[in-house]
Amino acid sequence: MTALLEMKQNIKGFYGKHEIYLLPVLKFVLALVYFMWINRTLGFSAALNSIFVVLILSLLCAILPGNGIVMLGFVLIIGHCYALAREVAVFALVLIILMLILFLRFSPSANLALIFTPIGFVLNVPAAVPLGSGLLGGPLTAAPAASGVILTYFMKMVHEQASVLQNEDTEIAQKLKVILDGLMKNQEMWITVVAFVIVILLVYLLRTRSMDYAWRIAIIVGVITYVSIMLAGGLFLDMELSMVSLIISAVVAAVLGVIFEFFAFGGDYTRTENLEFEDDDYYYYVKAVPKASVGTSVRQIKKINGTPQEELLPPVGEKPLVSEEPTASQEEIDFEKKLEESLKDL
Amino acid sequence: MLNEEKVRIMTKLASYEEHEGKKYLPVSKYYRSDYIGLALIKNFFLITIAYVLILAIVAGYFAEELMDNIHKMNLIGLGIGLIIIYLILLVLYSLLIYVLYSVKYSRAKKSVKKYYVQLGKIAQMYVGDEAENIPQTKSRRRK
Repeated sequence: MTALLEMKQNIKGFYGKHEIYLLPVLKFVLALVYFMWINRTLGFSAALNSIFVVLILSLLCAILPGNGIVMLGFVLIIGHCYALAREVAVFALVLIILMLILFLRFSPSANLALIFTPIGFVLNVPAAVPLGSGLLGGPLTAAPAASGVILTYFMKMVHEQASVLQNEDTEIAQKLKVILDGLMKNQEMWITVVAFVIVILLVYLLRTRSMDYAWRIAIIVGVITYVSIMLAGGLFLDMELSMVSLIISAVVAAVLGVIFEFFAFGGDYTRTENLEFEDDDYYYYVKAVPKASVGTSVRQIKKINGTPQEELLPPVGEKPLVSEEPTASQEEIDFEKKLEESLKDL
Repeated sequence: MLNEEKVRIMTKLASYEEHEGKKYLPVSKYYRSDYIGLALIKNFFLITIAYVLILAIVAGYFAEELMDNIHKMNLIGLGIGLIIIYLILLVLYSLLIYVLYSVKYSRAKKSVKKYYVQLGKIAQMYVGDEAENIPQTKSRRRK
């Protein structure tokens, strides 16, 4: 555990130090994966399929805010649909506008969940998306996650019905019927939307409680709820469901949830303190959960008149020391004086 | 002479403007009623557009049945039904917007309050500086 905590602190330190470079790189990778998934699922336009177009768009996303990936993804989807048939592109545009108006405008800062949803489906761990959204985001994340599910199933459906939709002899009304039937009568999609929304709200509700191990409880309850809803859907509705893959994906999602918890929360409930005090106006019942942290083992070396080097390792459970290797000459400098002098020059 | 206190406060202010303030400062420039009112008007137009789009899709889906049965249908009843659904949608979304924007506004006001206190301190410092400088500049002019 100590080694893990140390690793977490090192990763956090590294990220904090290089955030300005790492964030664009991460955005670039996310955009690249998302755009490649869109191309693989739809892929009707040869021009948009070109790896150069994808790379340029991903590079653009690296400097744009997070919502840039979502918007460029929409453009890519509409572009592919246009290459298939004009009516499909119009429908895709209308669907996206409706999503933006009805759901996505309430959660501008959480819309990345929309990108993670299809990635979750591709990796076969869809349960990780509502779990992660509930743990790391707020209740409003439900809107982009649900939109992501609808968009994913819409694209799957277009992919499956491509031959019918592409046929120029098919009437417009007929095509609309094929698309709408494919969406509205897709019970698997609706049950997934319901499961996503319920799990996100439930996980958020549980992990924000002050009870012990709230995050763990939220993860377990979230996974069980997801599996139960999907199983109920499999029993009562017309949908194909593989029990084994559902359970495996739920277990993987739970493990991912624990990893999210480790990085995002990290409270140490064994050292919880319950305090009680009062002032003139209130009684306070405070529960203080210390953060699990460990001193990083970067060695601090003190040289005292050439005596052998001494390694000072901070004890476990303390906040990390500022770790550098100051030389004897550095220690003698009076920084305050220096600062005053330099300010005088100004 | 450099005023350290001033530098410290100005750094804090700049940091606020760069991070939290980006979200909250534009909000704080409105009166509460204006801010929520504008959001509700925007919401009205957006919901109307969304409803028209939904109606268009539904009409397209039932196009054939509509064409076949339009002479038999109770058009007035249908119209009233559509308007009622529209009103329900509009009221629901308006309520949602009202709650969300009220919360957002009060949060912004609270956050910006501290910023303005610091800004007031800076302003006072400038007033102090000017008071000190005025006699000097006058004396220079006399020379």
